[in-house]
Amino acid sequence: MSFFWLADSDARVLGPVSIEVVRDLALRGKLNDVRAVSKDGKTFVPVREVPEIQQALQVTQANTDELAHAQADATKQIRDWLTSIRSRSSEEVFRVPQNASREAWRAAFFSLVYRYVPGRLPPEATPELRLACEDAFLALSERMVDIERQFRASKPAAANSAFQTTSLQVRWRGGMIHVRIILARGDIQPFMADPDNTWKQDCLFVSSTEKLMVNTPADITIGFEGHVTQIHSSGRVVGLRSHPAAGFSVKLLDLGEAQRAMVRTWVARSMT
Amino acid sequence: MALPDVLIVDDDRLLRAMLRDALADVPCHVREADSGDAALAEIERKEPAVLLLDLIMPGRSGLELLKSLTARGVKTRILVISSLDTESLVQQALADGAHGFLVKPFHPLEVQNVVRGALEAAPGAKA
Repeated sequence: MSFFWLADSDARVLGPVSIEVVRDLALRGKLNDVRAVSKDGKTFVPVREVPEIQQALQVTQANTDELAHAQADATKQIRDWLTSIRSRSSEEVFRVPQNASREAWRAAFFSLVYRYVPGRLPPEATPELRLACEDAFLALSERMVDIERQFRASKPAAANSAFQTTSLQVRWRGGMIHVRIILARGDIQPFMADPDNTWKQDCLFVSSTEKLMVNTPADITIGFEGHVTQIHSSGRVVGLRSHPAAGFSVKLLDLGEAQRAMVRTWVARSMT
Repeated sequence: MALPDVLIVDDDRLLRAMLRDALADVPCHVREADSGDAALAEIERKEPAVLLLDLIMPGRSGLELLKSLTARGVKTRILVISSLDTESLVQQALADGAHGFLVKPFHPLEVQNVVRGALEAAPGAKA
């Protein structure tokens, strides 16, 4: 019997599996991101070069239109649900009785939040659906932070302990500046600090004393507290500032619509 | 007495965190690995009582790791956690040596129960 290894766009591998397993998974719509196939687990080739796999996977492509409609419906449902819970108590949202135990809250939270974990979405998920899931994930997480804080109320805790501060790493390596920034919830300074180069111009301000020149190449990673999505982009230094804070602005060169929407939502949410 | 080890093998950091949280009330020592190769190194360092294994990972896949561990004759109870819950794949995983198959999305209490059961069945567990 022949076995196959299937690799997705993130080079994650499933295998070895038989053609029957591949067919079953494809029929259930669970193989939507197969990019390469191997027959020995070592050498991978494009799917089109393995006809039996290509044939098994084609059954899912016939459902593309149906999938697009389903995603639009799912997005609307999540948005409607998010609107509906604004005025509802956490007991109602998580469906737990009053005076529920911490374990009951946690069980209810995990059960509910898992539906919206953005990492579970298939790669072809629309940016709108991805954002809706992230909003739902964030809304539930924020409520759970408050609930956990109530349970911890009897213990002394540092002020704002549930919120992290923005973390920043700036390193010079391989002829370019590498920036990794994890934005704390509500922090939009890096998108606004340099009025000439804001998020509207796809720019990020990096607070740093690093001596750089305009046009220095950059490699940027931006994380958002409470979100799974990160932005990875190459960039170029487009501005240098010394006041009020020393630093440099980078223009992000690889932003797609989903990434811009992520930044736009982050800024909008922090300003409301 | 030392707590038994549970090794979570998943390339998804969030999933590992959720599983770790789900196991907070289970008397065990949780370890993590983000790939099949990292898992193998962890197992060679110290064989865990229970292993929670994702099937799709970069590099060495979950099924490859499963076969490799079965071939080595490790005593670890291996529980596959995957959303790929077709009958044929579940059967293959069990045939390859898995002791259980937990379907994503999972409820944390379900994880707790399955891991508690696996810990009780693990070699060296108190009767």
